[in-house]
Amino acid sequence: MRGKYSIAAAAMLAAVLMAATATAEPKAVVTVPNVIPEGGVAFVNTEGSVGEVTFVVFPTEAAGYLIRLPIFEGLDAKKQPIIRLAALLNAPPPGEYFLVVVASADGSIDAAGAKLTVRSGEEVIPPNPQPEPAPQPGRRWLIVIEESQQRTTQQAQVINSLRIPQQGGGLATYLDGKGHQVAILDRDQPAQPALAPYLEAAGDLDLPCVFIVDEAGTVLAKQPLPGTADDLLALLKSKGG
Amino acid sequence: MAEIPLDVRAVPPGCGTGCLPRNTKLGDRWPILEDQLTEIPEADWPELIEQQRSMEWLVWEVLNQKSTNSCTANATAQGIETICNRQAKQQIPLSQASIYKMINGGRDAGSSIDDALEQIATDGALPADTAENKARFAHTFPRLDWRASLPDGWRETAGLFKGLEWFDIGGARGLVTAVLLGHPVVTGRDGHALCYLAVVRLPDGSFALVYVNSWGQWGVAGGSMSYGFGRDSLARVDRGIRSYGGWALRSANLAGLLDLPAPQN
Repeated sequence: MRGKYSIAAAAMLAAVLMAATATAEPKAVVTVPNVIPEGGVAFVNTEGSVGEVTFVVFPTEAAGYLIRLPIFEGLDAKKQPIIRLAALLNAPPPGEYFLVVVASADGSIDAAGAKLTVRSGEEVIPPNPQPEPAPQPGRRWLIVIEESQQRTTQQAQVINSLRIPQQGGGLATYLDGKGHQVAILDRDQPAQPALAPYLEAAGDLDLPCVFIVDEAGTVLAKQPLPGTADDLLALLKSKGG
Repeated sequence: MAEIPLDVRAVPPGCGTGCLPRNTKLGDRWPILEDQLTEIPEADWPELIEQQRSMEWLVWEVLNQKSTNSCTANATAQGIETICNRQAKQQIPLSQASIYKMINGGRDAGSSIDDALEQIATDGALPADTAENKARFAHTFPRLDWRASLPDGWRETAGLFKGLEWFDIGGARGLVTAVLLGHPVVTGRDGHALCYLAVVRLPDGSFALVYVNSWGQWGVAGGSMSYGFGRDSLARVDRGIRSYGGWALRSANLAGLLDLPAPQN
């Protein structure tokens, strides 16, 4: 249903409806939400032997659309019939609304009215989650854990590229220029306190794997070693290195 | 590649050799590469050579045994220095004499490579007694004076430079596989130990293995061996491996050199 009414009119209608049903024992119980996100879905519960449910929405300011969507019909925990409905407000701006829901069943009517607050989407459910902020640029540690017995020629090229320059620059030249540190360690290294956490963390990864760590020890990346030096360089740059 | 027969007169004046035949059997101490890995077929070599980042670039100094017969200790230390440069990004000069002292029986009469490997795997090598090393490490040792006394507690520092894991290599093709996988190889030929680092393809289509020789200089000496870097045919390397053995350095214990930050998450 569509409505564009003042909040005073909405309150009056709700009062009339409530008065009309005051003498009858309501078999339908309606609850309405108080807060929904912008563009979100308001779930309205009706309990009891509900025969019909009608929504009326009274925006206080801008117009909005209310669409009735039965999304669940069944029994509640007490084996009572239940209809769960979704009231979709069609792009109303954040603000205050008044929502009245009327349900009738077996000659009884229940009406529920509530102030409905539509919050901005960012406050409740971000419509577009913000990307993770880029790490602050700085010096990095590239820590490679491998099983050298299983090293492939491709992996050897990536590992050598960490220190061996190539014509026109390449990973090693970039690392030197930025002052990044490199550690390439076999997982069979004897236990050392500084190394143990990395070896342990590498335990659930396929080897070889790489850690990109800032100077404070924040682990910015922990993943299998990229297949090429260019991919490893791109990963490093994406982590502020 | 043309074969050059051994000519001891080709060893330049002031340059020692000193590699004795291996005294263990293939696979006695370390796993055999050819058993553990699939040899890279020759058909794949040209493409891999093209893509290869040659480990020659990791050599930041050519060790110099001078007139001593400590070539096996030099070739082994060269391998550790190379790995240290790549794995820990540190260029730390090592004392060849700290290895040689333990394996030469108290005489400058040469040694076998397998003894040098055992020493570097068991005790490690001490840093050379440079000013920078003395400031950093508790123990150092002269580069060549193997008669010097080892300082008390030296094993604590030497343990920072251990060659932990090696492959025993059965032949030149296994050596090619090793260097293409980034493992330096220590082997000998003509009574002299060398550290092999790369494989190249020659204009005639044949292949050669690149070594670094512990004669202390960059460049070519002439004769059958070069100062600095040189090249050997696969056939020559095959013969050398049969006599002296050949071992690929898989991993070194360098973690104690690294000041890794403790991970925070």
